[in-house]
Amino acid sequence: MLPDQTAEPAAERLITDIEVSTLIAPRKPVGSSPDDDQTGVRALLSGLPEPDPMPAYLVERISASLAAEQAQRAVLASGASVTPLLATRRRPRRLLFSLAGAAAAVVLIGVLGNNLVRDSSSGGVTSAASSGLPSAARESSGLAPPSSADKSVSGDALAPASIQIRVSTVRYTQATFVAQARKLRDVAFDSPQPMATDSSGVGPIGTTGGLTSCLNAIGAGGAQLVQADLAFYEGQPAVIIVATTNGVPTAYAVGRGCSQADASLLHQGVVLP
Amino acid sequence: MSRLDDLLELSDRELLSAHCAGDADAFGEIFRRHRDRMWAVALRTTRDPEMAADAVQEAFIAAFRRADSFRGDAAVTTWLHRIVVNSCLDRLRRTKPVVGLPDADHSDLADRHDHHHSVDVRLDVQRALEQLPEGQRMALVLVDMHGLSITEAANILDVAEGTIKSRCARGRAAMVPLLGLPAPADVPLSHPPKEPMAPS
Repeated sequence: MLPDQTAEPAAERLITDIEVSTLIAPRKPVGSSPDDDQTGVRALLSGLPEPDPMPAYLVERISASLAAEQAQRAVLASGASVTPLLATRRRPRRLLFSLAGAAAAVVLIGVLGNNLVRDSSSGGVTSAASSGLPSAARESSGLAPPSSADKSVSGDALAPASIQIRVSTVRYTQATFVAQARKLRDVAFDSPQPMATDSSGVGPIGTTGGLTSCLNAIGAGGAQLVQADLAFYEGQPAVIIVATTNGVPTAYAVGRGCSQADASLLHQGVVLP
Repeated sequence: MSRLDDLLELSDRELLSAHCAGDADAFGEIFRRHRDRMWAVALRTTRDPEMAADAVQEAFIAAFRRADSFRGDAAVTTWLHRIVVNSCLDRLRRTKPVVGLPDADHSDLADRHDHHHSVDVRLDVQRALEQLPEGQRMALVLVDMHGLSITEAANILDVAEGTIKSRCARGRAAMVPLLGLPAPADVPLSHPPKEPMAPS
């Protein structure tokens, strides 16, 4: 586009503004390198203030997208088949992917492993997670406490009767932690997929053994039912844990590095109403 | 030392390697380190916050997915710049007929200059930049506004260093009358240097 000739008076005024501006102080470059500028434009441009930092809404939006990408990567690494996650918005084709991606993020990556409900009366074995019961229903059914046969992880660690792990992009906060944890407690962990110990992409905390170790560190080793959400707490990658012991659900937030040696506790245990 | 502290200790290259190796948190740290810079580049490239937001989001996701394509012959930040700039330019080219220059109306300059003149200068410079050809504008954004070297800018825009120098010179010369600046005697405003042929 050609310069607007009608703007000439304004341009003259601009010269004055530039000269008096304390914000932008034009300087004559010195030296004779090829990119030296005798016009003063370079000094003008370099003196412009930096734009504001990335706005919070965008940081959150991109963080959520990256978390969804990471969740997809973790699921793919575990061998499960999911629909690709979202990339960007405002593109119809990608919108479909984003919807599928949101669904994939909610896909629950249950871990059964050796976490089975043992029927002491019949000696039979029933998978709590694969029974199709919502967690609340399982919780109200009164799960038997773990037996000594469950001592399979981390030395003396006592594996809970049922561990369910999911990956999500939920961003938990201190202010709304209890309400968000209650939602986690009440959500149905459908279509559980066993997560390979070494292929979760989220570290040991994404495995039955790693989570059990963490539970011991936070004093929830005796829980009969554990629901874990690999998500975020106050913007940090975290694991939100609802551990139910004798029918009492307690919610914790821990760092992804939580282990028997270091609990990385981000939110103290709070009993859910 | 916590896991996040560990990440803080790593260089960009180490973080990218960790990400490629499956580390779940490494790319988040890369995003944290570079998001403001990339946002600034996107904003100055597109001049449209909404478009910049989409472009920078798309760029970070592309970088996440294509991290293993990083060859290591440039800095990670240069690699990110390149992805962000390309994402911005793709969007600009797709929407060019619609976007136009929505802020190119100079009729309010006189009034605005009575207040907040420093902000006005920034806006006027931005408007002058908008009138430059894309190549010149991008060279000035990267070299003059973001302080990148000629080599880095050439790497990001995938052109020869001589092309960047030429585009900078031509862009600056074109800006002089647009901003009403006095023309230096030794600057050939009417015949800025031609761009060198790109190497084959």
